[in-house]
Amino acid sequence: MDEIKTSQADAQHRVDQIHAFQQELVALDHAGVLALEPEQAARVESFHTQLLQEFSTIYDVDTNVQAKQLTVGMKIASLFGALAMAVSIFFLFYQFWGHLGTTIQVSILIAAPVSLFLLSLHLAQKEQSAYFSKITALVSLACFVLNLSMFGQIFNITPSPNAFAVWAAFSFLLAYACNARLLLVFGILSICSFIAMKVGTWSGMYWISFGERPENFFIPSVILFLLPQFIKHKHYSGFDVIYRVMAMLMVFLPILILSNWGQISYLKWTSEIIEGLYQFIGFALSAAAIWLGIRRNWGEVINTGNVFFILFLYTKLFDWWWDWMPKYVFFFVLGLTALLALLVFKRIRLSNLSTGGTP
Amino acid sequence: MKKYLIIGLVILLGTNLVVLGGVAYNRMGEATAHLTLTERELTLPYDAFKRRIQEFYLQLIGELRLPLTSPITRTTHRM
Repeated sequence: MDEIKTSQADAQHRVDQIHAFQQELVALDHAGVLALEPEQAARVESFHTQLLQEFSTIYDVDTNVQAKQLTVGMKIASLFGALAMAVSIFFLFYQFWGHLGTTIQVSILIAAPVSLFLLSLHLAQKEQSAYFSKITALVSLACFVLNLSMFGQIFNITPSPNAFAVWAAFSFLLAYACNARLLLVFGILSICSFIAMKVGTWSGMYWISFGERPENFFIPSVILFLLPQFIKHKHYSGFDVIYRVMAMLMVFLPILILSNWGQISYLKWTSEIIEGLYQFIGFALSAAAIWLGIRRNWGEVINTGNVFFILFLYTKLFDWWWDWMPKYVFFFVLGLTALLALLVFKRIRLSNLSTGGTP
Repeated sequence: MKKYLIIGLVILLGTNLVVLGGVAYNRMGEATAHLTLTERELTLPYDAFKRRIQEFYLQLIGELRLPLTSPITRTTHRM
């Protein structure tokens, strides 16, 4: 499985490289810069055709634009299919539950996630693109969530945050086994919630109220952001991006909340000081994220930093001017700030081009 | 793939074992108290959506009524 995943990602990269090379060769030929000898051109073309056929049959990669568009459609269909199947299982359990005895209920609750897990692994091993295995894996996770929550209802078990740790472990396992980014998102959300709940419990709150202390999410977000630095995800497409974006959401959303509602902070200062502090941190961190993204060539970090910088700026402008400024002046000022941001980005882009930034 | 299979089964079956073990342990020995509820103490759920999806699995909500022997004092706790 690992072998296939490594090669599949590499094969798709190679196919894209071949297409770019062919287009550039045509452009160079038109410009009169470079023209291959007919014999050379035929040799290159036959080599590329053979390579593309090989990749297409062995690794199921997209060898043309139409195939790429269809793949996007298949990805969307598999996402909706997986979500719909998970919801269907949920309602199926509720519909016929009352007719079944406790032993049968327990057996179904245990057997459903186990059998679907085995099926998802079997499908992941069998098919190259793993669409069906991803759907099965998501339904298996939904069944496992139902398993524990229904046990809680049947046997009147005290609710516990530990369930989130187990769900996170299972989500991560399925995500890595089936190369599924959606399951990775579920895993990250579950583990972050678990850490926030545990830290909240140590500070004396009931675990269900973990959302009342947004600062509890800072620790998991730092761990998540640093994780791709230590664990390489060469075999898994887009996992690094998911880790970084989720980490940034986990740090910026709490800062955004605390910059408006300082009274829910752990800090013992007045609300105004706490809000001011978090507004400053929000601006500084989002600017730092943009800088880091440009430096490391992380597009997702730049975009997330941009979005939150604008959010922090507009919430601050709203605070200052919405009440006393005429609305047309307020929106005019917003437009001016957008123009200013454009000028700044243009300047950065030009300086990046002149220093010969990474292509 | 084999390591995924083993870890996954350990997570799924291990969790179920721990939960059911806890349930069995909790139900060992004699019950400390019995409470019989009748329709006087039970009402149908208010939520119409819940009623619809629980067509067969009827959830009843308990209502506790105590005689007013002393004035009720209400305290709120900040978590």
